[in-house]
Amino acid sequence: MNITIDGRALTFEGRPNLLELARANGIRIPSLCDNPGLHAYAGCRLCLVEIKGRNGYVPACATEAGDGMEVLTRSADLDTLRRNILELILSEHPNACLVCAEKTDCNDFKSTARKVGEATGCVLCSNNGRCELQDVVEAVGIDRVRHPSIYRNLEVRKDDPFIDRNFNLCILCGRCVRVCHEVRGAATIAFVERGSSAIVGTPQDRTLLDSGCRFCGACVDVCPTGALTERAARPELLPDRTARAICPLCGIGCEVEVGIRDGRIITISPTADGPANSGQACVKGRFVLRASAASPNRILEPHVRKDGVLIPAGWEEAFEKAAGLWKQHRPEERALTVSAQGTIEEIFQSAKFAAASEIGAWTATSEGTSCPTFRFKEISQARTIVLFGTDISETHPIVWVEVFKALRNGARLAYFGAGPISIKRHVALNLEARAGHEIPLLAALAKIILEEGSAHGSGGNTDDLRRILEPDVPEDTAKAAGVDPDDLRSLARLFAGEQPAVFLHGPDYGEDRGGAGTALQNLSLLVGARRLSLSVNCNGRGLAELRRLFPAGETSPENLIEAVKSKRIKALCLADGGTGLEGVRPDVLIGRGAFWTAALREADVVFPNTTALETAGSFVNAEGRIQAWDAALPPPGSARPDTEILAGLGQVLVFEGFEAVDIPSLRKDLAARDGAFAGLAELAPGDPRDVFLQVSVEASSTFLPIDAAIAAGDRIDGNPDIYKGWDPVREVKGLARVRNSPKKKVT
Amino acid sequence: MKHHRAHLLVCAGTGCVSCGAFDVKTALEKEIERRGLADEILVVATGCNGFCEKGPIVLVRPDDIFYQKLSIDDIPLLVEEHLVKGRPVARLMYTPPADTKPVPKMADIEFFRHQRLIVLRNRGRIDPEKIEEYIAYDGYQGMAKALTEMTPEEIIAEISASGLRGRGGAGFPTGKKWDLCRTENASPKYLICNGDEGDPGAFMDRSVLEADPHAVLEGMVIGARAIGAARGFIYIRNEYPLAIQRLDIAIRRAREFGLLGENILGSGFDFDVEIVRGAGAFVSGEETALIASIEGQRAAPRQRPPYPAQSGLWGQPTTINNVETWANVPSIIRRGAAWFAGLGTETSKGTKVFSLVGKINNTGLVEVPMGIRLDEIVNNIGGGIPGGRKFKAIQIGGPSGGCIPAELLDLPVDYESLTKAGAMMGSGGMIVMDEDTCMVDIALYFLRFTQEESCGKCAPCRIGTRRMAEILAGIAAGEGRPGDIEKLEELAWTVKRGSLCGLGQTAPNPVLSTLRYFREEYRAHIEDKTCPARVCKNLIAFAIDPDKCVGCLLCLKACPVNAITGERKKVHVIDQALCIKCGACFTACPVKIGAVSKLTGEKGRALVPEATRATTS
Repeated sequence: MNITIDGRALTFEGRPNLLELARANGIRIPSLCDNPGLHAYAGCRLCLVEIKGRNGYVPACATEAGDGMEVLTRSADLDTLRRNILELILSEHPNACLVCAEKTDCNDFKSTARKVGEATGCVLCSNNGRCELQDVVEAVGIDRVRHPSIYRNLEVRKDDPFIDRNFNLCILCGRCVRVCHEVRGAATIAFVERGSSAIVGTPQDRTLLDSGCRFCGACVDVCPTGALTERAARPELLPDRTARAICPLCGIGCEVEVGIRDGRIITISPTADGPANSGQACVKGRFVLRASAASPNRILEPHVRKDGVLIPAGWEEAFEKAAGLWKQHRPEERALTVSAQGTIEEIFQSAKFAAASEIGAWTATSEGTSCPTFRFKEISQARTIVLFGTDISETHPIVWVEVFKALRNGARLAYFGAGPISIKRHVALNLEARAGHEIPLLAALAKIILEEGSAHGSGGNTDDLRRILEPDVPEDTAKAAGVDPDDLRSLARLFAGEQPAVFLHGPDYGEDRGGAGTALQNLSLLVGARRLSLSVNCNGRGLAELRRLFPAGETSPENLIEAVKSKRIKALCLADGGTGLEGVRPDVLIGRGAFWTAALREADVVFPNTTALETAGSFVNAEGRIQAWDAALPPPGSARPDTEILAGLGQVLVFEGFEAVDIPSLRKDLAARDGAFAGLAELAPGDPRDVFLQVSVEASSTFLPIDAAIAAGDRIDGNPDIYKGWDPVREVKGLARVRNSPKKKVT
Repeated sequence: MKHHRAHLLVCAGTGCVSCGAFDVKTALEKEIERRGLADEILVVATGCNGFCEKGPIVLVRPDDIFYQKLSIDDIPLLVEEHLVKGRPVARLMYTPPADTKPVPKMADIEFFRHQRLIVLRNRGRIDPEKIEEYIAYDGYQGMAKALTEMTPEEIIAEISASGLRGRGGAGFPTGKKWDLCRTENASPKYLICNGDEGDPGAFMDRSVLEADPHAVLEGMVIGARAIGAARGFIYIRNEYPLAIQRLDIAIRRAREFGLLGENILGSGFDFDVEIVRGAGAFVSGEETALIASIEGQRAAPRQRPPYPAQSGLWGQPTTINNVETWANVPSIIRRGAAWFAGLGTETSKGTKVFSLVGKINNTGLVEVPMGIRLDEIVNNIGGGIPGGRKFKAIQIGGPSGGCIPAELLDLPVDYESLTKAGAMMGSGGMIVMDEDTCMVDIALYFLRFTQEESCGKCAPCRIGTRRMAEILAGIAAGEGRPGDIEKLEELAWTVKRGSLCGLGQTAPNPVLSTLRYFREEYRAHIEDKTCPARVCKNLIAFAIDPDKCVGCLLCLKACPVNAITGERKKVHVIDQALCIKCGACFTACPVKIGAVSKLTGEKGRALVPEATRATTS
């Protein structure tokens, strides 16, 4: 279709609005309230344009481009109107610096950071230099404000973790309110009062914490002025460089931008269009991850135990000591641990080391479940969504954003598990069962569906299932689990409702050969729902594939502890701080980790390694998507990436194949060895293509028998907040306040 | 069926109720009972008669005798003389201001004589809580015809041919609006009645809902049939409890009679309504804000297009019309488009209900044919300005409208003429002003109103009106500066062109229209520091003329701040340092004596010491 903007003939397809169409063609129309991903608000009135044949002016952000339209973005009247409107906005925002004739020179002379309570000018505002209001003033060209300046004199709100709120700077663009309501579903803030008193606020003016805020930071990210800011970034200057990274704190794999100055992290925020997170983040990646780099608990150099005490040592000394101790025991007495928080390269290197050491046993200290690949974005297309035992608003906030999108399109949400969960008000059907009763309840659900004949699934032989479910009596099962039988029937009927249906679950319902995972698998097969596994750790999904590369001898953590106690295993090498293996003390204990943990403090040799921010690497996220990145920061002290530590150890032990440690070589090697990682060989960091695991993990197409006695799922770390032994809840007070807030239960 | 020999119709609109109409009704019933006349005389509470200045009102039928300003003390005499002895009581009748002879019959009273009732046809003659009485006066006939004899297209064609235009203020052709909604394919569709009437001084919709709620319901059923809606909402501002109550009763009764709900009149058509109460904001009278309010959101307007006809309540095609518009529909269907189009002018058909308030003798509610001249409304129906004062201007259209000065009083009342003159039909509020009204003060009053009621969403309205109000307040306080008028005009232009909704787009109108016709008054405030009407407190001073004062102590006692000193038979003096310019002394001084006067300009300033002048209010 054709359109003319300012005399330029343009073509377009689809139904863009005039603002996005203009911008796509390099025509700048100022705007302060528009934001990608949010519905048009048309509140700032700066994007008003003229359309030939129409009276008055229309906002470009809210006007659909039409075939044959003639649009004017500039004219004498329009320019005057735009300037006047901006002047009005500035009359209620500290504007002295914005229109000062010296403002460019001023930056040269007033370049130190400020720690003031209130910003009464740009030079005192933490948003100076990255403020959209500054940009618009520049673009429109205002050199004075012909109205008296009104300072609203509102109290600056600093009573919440992470976020400061200074509404004296607010221009009421509404982006924060809209992102909170339309995208995140928390609805914590809204406009209150009206007229001149209108401002953004919380219910009864409570703190954000008391209003159910999750501190995802989306409001801070969309705020065009310094009204909403990250407190930790405020006294800092602007970053002088940025680096792209993948957040390692959960299985989503959000793409983030790390702002750095003088080698320190200034701020971490989501990129505009990360493939997994689409510009969203959560409290951990947004506000907490930054504290990992300089945590007082970091291990800065190797340590060896001398006379019963761990003391710092050089790398060579540490390698020699460790190798010596390792060789003291026969291969079958050696074991190592693997964590799902290591990068692909680190775990691969670990597998090579395990094989070269001919170890007797190894264990994964965190989950790794194999399942078909999928995309988070597909969840928003579902019509029926059931959460099994996972409070996704807490564990996978980005998945919640996709679920919320589906709900806004009319999908229905149900919860099954040992609740309560924090997003209860969005849940149409809430089935909170007593812990331990999940398996019989799942069986009962399947039975009801069979009885009522509402199964949608096309796979499996339902006679098999009938036999499997034979002894179950749904009413009794329900009562024993503390669930109303009617609710159970309603849930069953929900499954007969709209397709497509999606089951979301965490590791509790993973592969388990007869437990809750199998029961859920049967149910999803019966109903024709897609079962999507949400791994908790940043590389849990990757570990599930990389297991194949380890030698035989995988065992559970409990069994390994038992083996150490009974002295079948005498030498143990821990990965990532060895969380979960505290108090385990074989004859030889070698530890690798970034942060001091109880387990590492028992070790004979400790090697300091890097976090994901300090090494190049790659993860496989819960979707099965492989994402790679380069190091954002240099490692602290003399810490080294785990790939290098294992290579160094391997070289001293004279193992083969540990010479080349550069990441590209490791990737090529892995891609050649295992077809699932074929895409890794050519993957460059920031590659815009979607690169997934190449697996054909088919969901089972037969119903499998259930053994209720089998404990549910793989063993996972009890605390999903722990990263490589780092406990952010302990170290970052704000996160403790968020986690412990009672209000989140009623969000 | 019982036949009474007389009906006493007690006006029970909010105005009369607040002067004690229900007490009068109770007194009447008691007296009639006491006299043993209960079987012969029926007392009924009706909706607003419109002549609010003269309440409490009782109309005696079949004689059509109009009694006004009744108190419970008048009741024994009234019953004795008129109902027992058959002698109507002249003392309780209406007497025109310039006259001594009372006018006994309602139809002869000037206030009523010039009116033409369509929307208000049932006012004062039925009990609004009795559906049977509505039906007896051809109620629901239009609906029956629409549901059983007409197709939706025919209904819309009839409304279009009638020329009915939206009575809420914008004047959009109603038939066209319905057609736009009917042709949308999405389902379900909704109907909304906008009863959020927020203009200060406007009470047209309130009176319709209190006097004749079924007229609105009937209109809505017809409209629902036309566009294809099964659900309707009547949004009434929460400050109208009596209207809400009467409407609630009407809805219940209509459902019981099969005139609302499923399968209306056995026609197979389903339509039901629910009442939604407003939450105290003027802006929720704007259609998209009203829709947001029904949805449970904050009542902030949304950008149009899309218009509600395409995407309204919950994103569905929605037709939203004003109370008065709906109330016109049954009559049009029942009596035909040609009949309706025979009233009014070329472009403005039918009648319009106006609330006539302010400096006028006959304050009340009037329904007149479009095209009637303004001076007919002010002088004939309104009875002119009280106290012999001179007419100065009439403000039409509330905070969105403007004033018409004396030289334009021969203007016909229709949409186009009023807009051309810088005013606006609006919802029909007419505020009459005399020489004692300051136009700057009026502009400030309306601007403050819109400033407070602005939702705050868009910058031009939220901030622009505030900047304008500050300048105006400065002018009124005597702090105006050269260039202020130009500033006001530029701000007005910005607010009008830049605002998102009608509230902002029309908020500057009172300022622009007073500037257009009374620019000299602004100049006097700014340059001469004078308020010609002697209203603006900072620019006036109250003074007692020593030659006229008789020392009666009345003003002294009236003064709330004890600013007047004096003794009996001695000249009183006002202490200007204490005077708060409330005007109590001015009112207290007997008219014959007239010793207190308001001075302005040089004379005023000479009295008031600089240091004690009030600061900007």
